Amino acid sequence: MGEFRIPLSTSSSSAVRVAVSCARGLVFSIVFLMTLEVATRVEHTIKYGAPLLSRYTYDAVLYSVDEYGIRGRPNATFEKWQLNSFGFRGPEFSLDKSPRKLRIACIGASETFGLHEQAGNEWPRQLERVLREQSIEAEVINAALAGMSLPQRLIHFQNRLLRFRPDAVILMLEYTSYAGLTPAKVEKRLQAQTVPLPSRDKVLDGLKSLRVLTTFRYSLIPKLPDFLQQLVSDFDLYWKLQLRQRELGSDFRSFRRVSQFEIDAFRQDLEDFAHTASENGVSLVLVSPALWLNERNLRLSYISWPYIDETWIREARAIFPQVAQQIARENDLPFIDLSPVVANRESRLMKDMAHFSDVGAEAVGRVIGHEVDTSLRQLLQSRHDMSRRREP
Amino acid sequence: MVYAIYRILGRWPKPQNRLLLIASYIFYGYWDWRFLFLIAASTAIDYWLGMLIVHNPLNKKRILVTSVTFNLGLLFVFKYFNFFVENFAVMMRGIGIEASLPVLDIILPLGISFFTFQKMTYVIELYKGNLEAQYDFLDFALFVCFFPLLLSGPIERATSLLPQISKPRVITSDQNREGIWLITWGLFQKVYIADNIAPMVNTLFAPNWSGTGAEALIGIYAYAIQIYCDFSGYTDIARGVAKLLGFDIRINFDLPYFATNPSDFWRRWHISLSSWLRDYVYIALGGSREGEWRTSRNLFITMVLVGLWHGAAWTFILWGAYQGGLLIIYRMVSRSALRERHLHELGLFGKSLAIIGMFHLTCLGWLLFRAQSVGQVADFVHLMATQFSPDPAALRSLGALLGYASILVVVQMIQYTRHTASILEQASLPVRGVVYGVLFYLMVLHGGVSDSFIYFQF
Repeated sequence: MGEFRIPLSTSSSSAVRVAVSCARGLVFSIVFLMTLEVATRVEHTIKYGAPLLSRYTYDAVLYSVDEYGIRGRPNATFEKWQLNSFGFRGPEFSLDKSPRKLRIACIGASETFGLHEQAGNEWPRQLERVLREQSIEAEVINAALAGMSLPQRLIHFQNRLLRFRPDAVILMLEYTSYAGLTPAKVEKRLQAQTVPLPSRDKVLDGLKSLRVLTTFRYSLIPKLPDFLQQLVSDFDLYWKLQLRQRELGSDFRSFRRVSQFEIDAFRQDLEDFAHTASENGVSLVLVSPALWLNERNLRLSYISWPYIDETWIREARAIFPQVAQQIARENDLPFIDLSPVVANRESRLMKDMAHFSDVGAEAVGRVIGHEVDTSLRQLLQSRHDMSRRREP
Repeated sequence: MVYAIYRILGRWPKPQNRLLLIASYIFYGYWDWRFLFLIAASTAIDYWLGMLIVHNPLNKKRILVTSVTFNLGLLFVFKYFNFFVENFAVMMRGIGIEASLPVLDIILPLGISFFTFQKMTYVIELYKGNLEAQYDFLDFALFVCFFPLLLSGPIERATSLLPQISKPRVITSDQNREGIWLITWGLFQKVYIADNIAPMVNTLFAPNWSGTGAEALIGIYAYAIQIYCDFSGYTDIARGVAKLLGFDIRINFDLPYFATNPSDFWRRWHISLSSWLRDYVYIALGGSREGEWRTSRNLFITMVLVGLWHGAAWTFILWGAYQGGLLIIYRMVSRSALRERHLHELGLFGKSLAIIGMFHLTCLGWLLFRAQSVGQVADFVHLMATQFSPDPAALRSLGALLGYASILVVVQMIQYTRHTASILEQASLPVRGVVYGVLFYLMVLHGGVSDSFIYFQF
């Protein structure tokens, strides 16, 4: 008996061939991508202790939450970010202070924690180097965590940092300090303006749970030629903005003016900071950030802060540093403004609206180091005098 | 873009060839446009000499000698002139004469050793009557500068490549699949294995290196893996690209570290060069037809030329002499106890022993090949003989080396046991997806950083 075959016309058989090819291509692509995802997850589990099967982001690996809010996970590592046994980015240090060294804690958000800088190049590390060059022995603790709002930093300072008995605290008042819409703040704002909370976009959320995309974004894109990197980045920005816009509708960029509520909250938090520092004998230094405002950076900011409009940002840039400066004056605190440092050199010193490049972090470390030089020397002198008085 | 246009021109080989020729010249000129004149002029001269052979069969020997002299002269000027001048000056100084000889301030054109040897096969094979003349000059120019082979070979013979250029090419899905696999596997060997091992090797051969004999040995193992993956990786990429264009290029490496003896090694390592020298030098010198002494002499000369082909340095000449010495010794002893037949009788154990032994002899050769000077070779050998203590640094290096080379070992074991290079030929679609996924992942996320391929300098 001959083999049974379905008679096919030439056109239908070629259509079947195309369909089979497509199906094979699809199966191959799915298996290929699944392999990449599994390989990434296995590697992350081995290297960083990330959960193998559940969703995780880099902050879920690096951070945990305790009664005082988010904190760095002790000894956590993810990509270039490595935390010490206290959960701070940077080298190990002991709880006991060296009598010959000043201990300086830097508090801030991602700009201080270091987002784009290579490990060891974030500005607190650069500051430590600058102080060493100036013959000031100081141990600089990078106590910042990405995304920390001002109230969270205050709690962090009061409940976690004081036990390390810092001699000085440098508080970087980045954009996150005044644009940080923490749930509590948003709730309050909601009561005033009845704006819905931003829901996490399902598509974005789903894509974020694919580890391979994030990993390749960090590893593959920097290896591409500049024009391709730009193309990928533009595309990424475009579709994320589209998603945000679709999700929020008319609420997208609806915060056009800085409200008195925000100014008052900011002032109150800073005054509490100054008060806590003075009560505990800690020298507080306020640093006002640099913002690089251009069309692209503004568009980028709308992804993370979708309610905030350009008009709000421009107004905030004028108001909040003034408030900070006023509080510094009232409390006799050093105040450093970084805007002149980056002026006309933004493309070299900054990576986006608020984050520094390696070179930028070095410039910031240098400026802060020079500005605090006198006060740190006085601190060292007073400590030296005190220890001499104690001697029999 | 070239590939897309090439496929569109699928039914017309001549336009395809013109496209490939333009692409090849752009590819070569991208490095240094001035050398385009060199490659074009030398192509024209060999084309013209080829035509002369066809039209003056009575003078063909004289034309052949002219062609060979021209090509070797070209190599001599660009590659060896300064070496000979400098050594001549040293020699004269040795006998008390201070000679101030001119040196040429020129850079070595990329791939000159490869395309010159490839070009030479045309006139030689025409002379031998094994090939019909190529009348289309542009097709002949494509044979000389076909971009996948231009920089690091394989050195393809005119008898094999020219007919493929002249005829229409059919690209099947099997060819595409094999081409993609060759490119992926070649890239993996280069980017993941060779480039990750390179820093280890560079540290070892740096002038101020200090360490133990165990570290030195592991460093030499590392170089053996690096040079293999670097060169074999390039060859695979070249063959893969050629395959996607419908060309079938000969293999250049056949599991060389599975060789059981020196003769076997040279049947597996850089096959296109070793067979070129076998056919056009060793056999021309008389091969093994004229007694034991002459055979040994011919082997030695051929292998010294292999060394010299790689570059103008005493370490390369020494390496060639060492390989020649190994082949001669092997010829002598293979008449008695270590015959391959006897090894087969010893079974797997004997064969494994022979493979391990041959690998170490090869590694010793690589030490000569990679060392900065003859003094460095002596230092390494002394260190390995007197201070061989497997310290933690050596064990760490060994761990890293095994880690990087593990996939290579697995793949080659499969190739060796199955007697096939295409390990994915029988594999199901999901298995292929997993293999490509793992290779892609390791290449992109854990690939090393390197400027170029080692063999570009030759």
